[in-house]
Amino acid sequence: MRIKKVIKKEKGFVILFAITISSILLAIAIGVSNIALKEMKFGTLARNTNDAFFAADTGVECALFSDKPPTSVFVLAGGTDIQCLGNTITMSGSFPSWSFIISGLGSEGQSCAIVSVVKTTGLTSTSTTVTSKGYNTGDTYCNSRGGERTEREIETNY
Amino acid sequence: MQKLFEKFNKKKHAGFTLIETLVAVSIFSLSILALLVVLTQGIANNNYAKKKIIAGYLAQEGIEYIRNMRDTFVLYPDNADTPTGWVDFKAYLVAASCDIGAGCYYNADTLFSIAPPKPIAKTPFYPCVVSCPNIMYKDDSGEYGYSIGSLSADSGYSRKIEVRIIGENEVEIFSTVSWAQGSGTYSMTFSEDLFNWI
Repeated sequence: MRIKKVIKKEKGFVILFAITISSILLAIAIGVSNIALKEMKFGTLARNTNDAFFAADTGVECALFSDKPPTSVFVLAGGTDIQCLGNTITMSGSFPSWSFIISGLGSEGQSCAIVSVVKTTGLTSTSTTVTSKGYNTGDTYCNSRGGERTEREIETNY
Repeated sequence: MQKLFEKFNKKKHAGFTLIETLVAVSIFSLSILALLVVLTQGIANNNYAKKKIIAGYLAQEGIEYIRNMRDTFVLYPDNADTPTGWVDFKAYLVAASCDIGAGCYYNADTLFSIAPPKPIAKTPFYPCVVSCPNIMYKDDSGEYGYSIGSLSADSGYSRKIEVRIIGENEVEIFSTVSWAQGSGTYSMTFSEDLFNWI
């Protein structure tokens, strides 16, 4: 009877010990993988940021080129088409504000930008504001393809 | 009878403890195994993320360098009366075979010893015949370059500049940084279109 009592007293100790140790180790593992996941997200974000920024910059460059005299389209009764990326892009709007979308940017043609050009006519001079919103991913209308996407906006005044 | 029962009971308990120990050991080993797998994977992913971020900055530098060259060429033409900066800029990239095959790379390390004006427009460009050479890395200064002294070591990154002439007034620049890690080769590419708008 006494032997039985002793065994009963220590019953389940090893399993408790093992589960405690495993829980601690698993907590460490989860912590490490959490850090790794965050780092991966950060790395991907760094790429998305640049894709979006370069898309926005290409949009600004395209607008600035189309506004280069003497063939600027951003004038009263100017054309509605601009030549960028080797294509003819049709703009919407007319004097004094226009907007257009360029897509197929980035290394895999996945980025796009929405560009708007606004002319403000003053007494002695005309000022221009070019606003370009670049996205790391988007379709031909620069709509999101679902999921997260990064936007970078560049505004140019002259 | 009592003795026999006690003996039987003791035996039963001894067997139970063995199973219990086995279960405990297996749970313990499983968690150690899981920990090892997750740790290895986590460290590998951390290294990949680190390399990816550095590659991103190197690729970004490639785009920005070419962009700065465009600005310098166009803003400071050789002959101010008949500015041919844009044409010269395109010709400079084409001369280094940036527009064909394996692309090209530039070495900006001797930039400060090039006589002014506009040393950046005289940056030496070389075609990548088969593959672009690896960039060297100097540990004490954190510097990346091709000829940065004897203290530098291979960084494992190579940068390729590719140029696509889209029209008379537009070029598309690709900057690809590749690196090998583990058993695979990874790369990071950025691209931008430059226009003759200045």
